[in-house]
Amino acid sequence: MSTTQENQPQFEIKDLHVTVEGKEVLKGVNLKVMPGEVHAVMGRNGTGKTTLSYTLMGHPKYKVTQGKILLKGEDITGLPADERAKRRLFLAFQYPVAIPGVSVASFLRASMKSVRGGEVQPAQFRTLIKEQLKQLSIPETFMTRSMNDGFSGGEKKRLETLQLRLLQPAMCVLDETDSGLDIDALRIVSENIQNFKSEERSWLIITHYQRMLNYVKPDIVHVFGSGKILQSGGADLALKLEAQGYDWVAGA
Amino acid sequence: MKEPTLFKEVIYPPSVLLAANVNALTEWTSLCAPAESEKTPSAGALEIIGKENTQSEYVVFQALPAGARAASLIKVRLEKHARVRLILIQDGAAASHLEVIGDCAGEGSEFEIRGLQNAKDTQRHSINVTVVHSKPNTRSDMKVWCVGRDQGHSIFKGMIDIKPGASQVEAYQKNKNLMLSDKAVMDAFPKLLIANDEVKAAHGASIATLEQDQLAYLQSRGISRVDAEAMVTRGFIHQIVDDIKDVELRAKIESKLGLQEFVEESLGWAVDERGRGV
Repeated sequence: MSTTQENQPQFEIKDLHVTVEGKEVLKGVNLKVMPGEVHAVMGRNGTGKTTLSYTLMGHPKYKVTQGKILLKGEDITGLPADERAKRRLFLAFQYPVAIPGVSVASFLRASMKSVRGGEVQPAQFRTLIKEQLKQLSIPETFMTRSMNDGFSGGEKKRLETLQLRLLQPAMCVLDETDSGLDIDALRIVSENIQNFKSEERSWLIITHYQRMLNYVKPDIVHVFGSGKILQSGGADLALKLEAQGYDWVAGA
Repeated sequence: MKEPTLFKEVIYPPSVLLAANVNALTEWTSLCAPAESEKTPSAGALEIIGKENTQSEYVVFQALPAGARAASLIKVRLEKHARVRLILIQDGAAASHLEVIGDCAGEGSEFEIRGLQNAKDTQRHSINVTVVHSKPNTRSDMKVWCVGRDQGHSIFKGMIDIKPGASQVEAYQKNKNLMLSDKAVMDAFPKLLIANDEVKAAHGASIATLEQDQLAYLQSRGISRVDAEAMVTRGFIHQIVDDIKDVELRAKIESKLGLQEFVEESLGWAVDERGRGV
């Protein structure tokens, strides 16, 4: 039976097993995200959520020992991170690394050129960037600073959000983008994500809290524990977890 | 009696004397005696005197031909409340050595040293930097970054020497080595010599390869592995170049090191307090 365009998942994880430095952390993750859907993944610390996000992005430290990752039906399991990015997969890092000496402007232009393919005209680049800076209340002087070097937690997350909007991904994975944000920054970042939703764009939001989900409403919420998804439900599941914690979830 | 010159112990002719009160770029070729051939060792010396209450910035750039061998001595003497920033770049030649001796001889003086070695092919770059704190309330900040490629050999020796009478001194020394080849050799010898209890001083050195997390981050934004490695390396080099405060001097050095394209995206944005973006 052939898969039609309409019912093809945007993103699919099939029986994913991953080891980190010889230790198995992910133990059979299955997930299907349709175009336009927002999925939230919640779970206790140390259950493998960040391992999941890094594996999806293709970090070489995380070894897939079994299973597949599919983006629009294409198996991307063996692809390096840059090829995944070119296919419009984006990870907003929980802890974006500093790259001293590399200016934000230089990095963003290189990234845009790579992901979009071909030359990005300077005037077009500046117009796009200025608009995004304004949206995210980021001062223009950021552009000449080194990437994430000496940035506060909130500044890093705003810059991740700026990149997300600039690179126009089809599948967005957010790894605790709401952590380290004050109330105003959380609102700005969340609103920018909410405004960026579309019928073609899908989301996997890894979070500990309901607060971001108040802005970006999930269609499906998954409880993550012991390296796999233990339970899935609607948006109410996040509220229940917020109120009752994880003790009631078997295996969490 | 004739005042002895500060070059009495210098064995390298000729010497160049600069009275500090400006920002300037010195090509190494102007420091060294003209070599008879590319392979003849050449040597030179430079003395910088930071005059009382002046601020100066000097860039010494070594881009000698591939087969050249050269050594230079740079002496810096800072008078009361003088501020001198000295940027030393070793890029060309088969072998080059820099001997730097700085003396914070005037109370309240501040000395900043920035060094960059780019050792590629079979190049051998060495630098010995000694900063003497003779007087109280003086400050020094030394950063020497070295890149080792191919079979390049990079050597850093740093010394902070705080004299007994020099209280309330702040002195910092940092050496970072980026090893891009397993055949490169990088030697680091950071040292402190402190004879006063009322000072703040720190030193440290590191030797590392490219960080996988940095490369993974860049790759996650569509940048290929090769381009990511080049970008992180240029960033490492640019940290030192970016410390050149004089905008024109900095642009010249960026051009000489082929960093123009790398930094051009930073131009035209709102200026920061450093004059970036103009």
